[in-house]
Order: sequence, then structure tokens, then C-alpha cells
Amino acid sequence: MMYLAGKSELLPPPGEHCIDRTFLAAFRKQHGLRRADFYTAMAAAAALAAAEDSCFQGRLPEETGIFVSGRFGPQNTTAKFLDELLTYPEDQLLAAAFSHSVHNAPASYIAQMLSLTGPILTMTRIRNTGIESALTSAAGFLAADYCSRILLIQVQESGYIEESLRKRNGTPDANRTEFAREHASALLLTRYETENRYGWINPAAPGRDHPESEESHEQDLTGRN
Amino acid sequence: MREHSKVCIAGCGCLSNAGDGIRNTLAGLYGDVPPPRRASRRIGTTLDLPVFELEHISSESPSRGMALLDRALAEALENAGATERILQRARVGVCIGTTVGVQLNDLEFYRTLKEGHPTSFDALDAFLEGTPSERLRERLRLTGPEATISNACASGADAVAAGALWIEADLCDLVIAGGVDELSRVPIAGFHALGVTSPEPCRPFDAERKGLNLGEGAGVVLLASPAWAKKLRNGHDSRWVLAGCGSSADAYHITSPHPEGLGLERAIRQALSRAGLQPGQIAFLNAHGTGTRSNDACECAVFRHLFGDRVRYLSTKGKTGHTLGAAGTLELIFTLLMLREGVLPPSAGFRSAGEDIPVPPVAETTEFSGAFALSTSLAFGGCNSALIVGREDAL
Repeated sequence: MMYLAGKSELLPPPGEHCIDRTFLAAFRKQHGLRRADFYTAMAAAAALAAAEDSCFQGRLPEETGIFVSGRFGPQNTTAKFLDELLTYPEDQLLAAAFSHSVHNAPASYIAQMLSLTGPILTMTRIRNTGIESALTSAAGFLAADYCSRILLIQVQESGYIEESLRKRNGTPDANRTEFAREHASALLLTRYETENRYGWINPAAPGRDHPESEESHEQDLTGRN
Repeated sequence: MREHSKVCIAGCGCLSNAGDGIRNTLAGLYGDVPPPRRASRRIGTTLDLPVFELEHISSESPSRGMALLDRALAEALENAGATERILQRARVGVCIGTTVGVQLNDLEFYRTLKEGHPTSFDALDAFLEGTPSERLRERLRLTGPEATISNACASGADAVAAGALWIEADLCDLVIAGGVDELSRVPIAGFHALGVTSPEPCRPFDAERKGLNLGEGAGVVLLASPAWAKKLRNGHDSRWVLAGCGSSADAYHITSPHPEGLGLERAIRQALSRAGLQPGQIAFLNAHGTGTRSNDACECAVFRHLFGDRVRYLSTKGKTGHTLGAAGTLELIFTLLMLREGVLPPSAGFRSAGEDIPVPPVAETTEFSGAFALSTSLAFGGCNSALIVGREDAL
């Protein structure tokens, strides 16, 4: 059982597919994130808002963990580094484009911004958003007493992967809305009911619907040997 | 006193420049291995840098990375006696760490896309097949939780830790946990741009170290609850356990470790605490030890601070290169093998310590006694991880 102590959501303006770049640019400037890309800015904006929304009013306990769940990672920064590789000699490439293309860059910035030193876990799931997987892992970390709170951020940016899907006519994925809209959302999950603001989450434990008797385990192993 | 439930290591499999499979890896850890060479034409880099590229990797797997992972997985399952039939009867999770495996960075595909007329969508199709964990869960028809961890260079260690926590939390009975990464042009160029690659074979912790060599490989461990480990061993207790794990963020810098290693120290302390162990009970440490100046100095300072001037530690990256997402799992397996043998090989590539390495790593073959050892991983983004492996009967 884990409780929802804070939440936030960052969405594109109505009718738009992308989060407002003007807002993200202003957010970067306000928080001194000049080198961070928009993907990181999206994740950080959602994370800070969820922290503000909680009873901690932005000042989360230092040992809070950070989970970032995404589908394609910072794909526009990856593209930027690929552009570098296609344009310049390999010994003259920009280091920042590479370091920020690493999927866990947002978690690093969020840890610095909120001074959090708990566990970091960046998860990627390509076939869907992966939020169920992230929630299950968070439940595991909290239940095993690895940390007491987790700031879970889900982020998706549009980029060349969606572009390539659109170019491939007839691909059903190209029309799926989940490919079309950017978003970032954050949940502050806690073990403590006293910090609860919105209710509890108990992700379905995978495999629970797979009954197997102890006896048949033994039979199987006995048969193998 | 240990407060957390035990997680057993029921089997392991690995593939790296140190060896193909556990038996060959053992020989490689204590003997000679092929030196790093310039990357083959397949990779396509123009940089003249030594890398540990594996030969004879071919299979029907959809990618080189999956081919590496499949070989390590097959060995781990065989090693544990875990048939596919058994996997169907347990709650089995899969948690794999990777860096390259979650990026669509096929340069030729990207170039044609930018020019507006992709000639083939094969690279896209292969990417959309899913992450390594998604593919394994589907192929093996597993029913437990699944995650692919992309925590940069600590991915393989963090995948093992996450899998262990799933078992501790009773989310599943068994977890296929591991790490994998293949060599490609993008990380070679990227690490070179960061100025951390060595133009010669890497020399972790050496006074003359000039950086890292990249490598490739895969490591897989089958983690099990004590009850399931016993079933897999026909009623006998498991011999090896993942005694503890810890992880902590530096909250300091995106690429450089904290100069005093505060995050690494917290991770090690957490792992010791969860294992119920004191620093003196750790027989040796298998360091992340990349060969970069900042990483090695940071690790040495933390090891000395926590374990004293007589700390025994080494790096194996002089034999494998930095295998990125695979490194954390591979090095956990190496740690287990060395613990089993009771003998440490010399830290690969080390000759003499400089001023920033006040306590040198193991410089010659060293016998030891002890039941527990610790493996560390550090990563971009300030991720620090520590895993403790131990003999089950000593816990």
C-alpha cells in the first residue's frame, strides 16, 4: 500500500500536441537550467509542482527516491547528437549533446534541484508508457523499506521517432494518440498515511493470477531430476 | 542483525571479453584475455581508440544486444536448473539494465529520415519490438513484474537491486535480472567527446591512467526467494545470496561524481546496513574502476574512509572494458566467482598508484578468507550503487 502525497500534470495547450516551449524556456531560466533540454525541463517542472503540492511544500525529505519513467527518453537530444555525428568529424562533437541524451539526465537535474539523495531509477518501456511498471517497482521499493517516499515522474516528448512513424504510412501506431501528445506528470508516493492527500494506490501484483500448488512445483522438479 | 528477507542467487551467466560463459570467464579473470583493439568496420567509427569488441556474435536474435543477452540468460537458467516449464509455474519478474538498448540511434536510418526518404524501416521496427525486458517477458511468457532500467553505467547493478526488492516485497518468486550493452559508434563518439576515453589499454587506479576503454557484454543472474531457491536445488539451500543493496544520488553534477564520494558512501552504508554487516566483514571490493581520474580517485577515497588503509579492492575493467549497462551485473558475477575461489587476481592494468590513490588496489594474486564481498557502480547523473554478495550459510 502506498499513499499519494502530491501530484501534478503538465499538458499541451488545448488542441496542441506539444507542451508550450515558451513556458519551458522560462522555467529553465528561472531555475538556472540553461544546459538542460526540454525533456528534462518538462520532467523537472512536473516534479517540482508535485513536491509543492505535498505537505512538504516543496522541501521533500532528503532521502526521497526519484523514479523517471519514459518511452523514448530525450529523443530530441539524441537526434541532436546524431546530427553532430553526421555533420562534424567524430573528434569535434559536443559533449553536452551526448551527456544529456542519456535517459537518466532528468533524474540527475531533479536530484540537484530538490537536493534529494535517495535511490534513482530511470525506466524505459517502448511498447507503452510504462506507468504500471513504474508503480509496481515503486510499490516494491516502499514495501521493502528501501526508501520511504518516491517522486515518480512520467514524461514523454515528441520527436523523430513519431516523425518516422508518420512517414511510414499504414502503421497503426502512427495514429495512436499516445504518440501524438507530449506530457509530463508526477506523483509523490509515500508509505505514511499521515502524508496522504489523494488516496492510496495498490498496483495489481503481477502473477497473482497464476495459481500453482506447492505440490505441483515439487512434482515438476522431481520429474526434472 | 539483518532486518530484510533473504534473496538468493540461484544461477548466473555471462559473456564479455573476460570470457564466454562462467567457466571461460573464471579462466579469463585469473589469466590472459585478448587486449583491446581498434573497433571493427562494422561499428564504423573513425576514432582510433582501443575497445573490447567481442567476436563470433551471431544468432537469430533481433539485435546484437539481444544476442548477447540471450547467451547469458541461457547459461543462467541452465546454471540454476530453471527450465521454461518451471518459469511458467512461478511468479517470475524480469529486470534488465541497458543504455544503448533503449535508444533508436541507427545513424543510417536517421540520415535517410532527415533527408525525407527512409529506404528501410528495419531499424525502427527492431526498436519498436521493445526493450530487452519487454521482449524477454513476452518470449518466455512470464507473469511477474517487468522493467528496463536505463540508469546509465549503473543500470546493470540497479536492475539486480530492483529485482531483489521485488522478491523482498513478495511481488514475485524469481527474477531474471541483468544488464546488457553492445558496442556502437554513438557511445564511442560520445565518451570521446566527454574526454574520458583512453588512447591505450585502460589502467584503473594507476598513476598514469588516461581514461576508459569501452566494451560490450551481458550478465544475467536468476534471483530467487529462499523457498524457490531450495526448490531449484532439489531441497538444498542456495549457496549464494545477494546479502544487501544500496543506492544513492549525488545531487551534484550530471557527469562528474561528487568529489568526496558522498553518494557512493551512502550507497555502501545502506547496503551494509540492509545486509546486517560491518565493514570489517567485507573480504574485498570490486570497484567500478573505470580508469578515469575522477572516478578512481573518488572510489579510492571512499573505500579508505569506510574500510581503512588495508582495504582490498580491484577493478576488472582492464579485462572487459566499460560495458556500460552490463557492467554492474557482470561485475557482481565476477565478485561472486572471486569470493568462491578465495583468490583475488591483480587489478587489471594497474602498475603503480599516484598521489590521488592513497591506498593501492590489489597488485598481485592474493588469497583471502571471507564470506562477503561488495561491488560498486557509479553512473552519469550521480547514481551510485552497491551490491553485497555472500555465502548463504554465513548470513
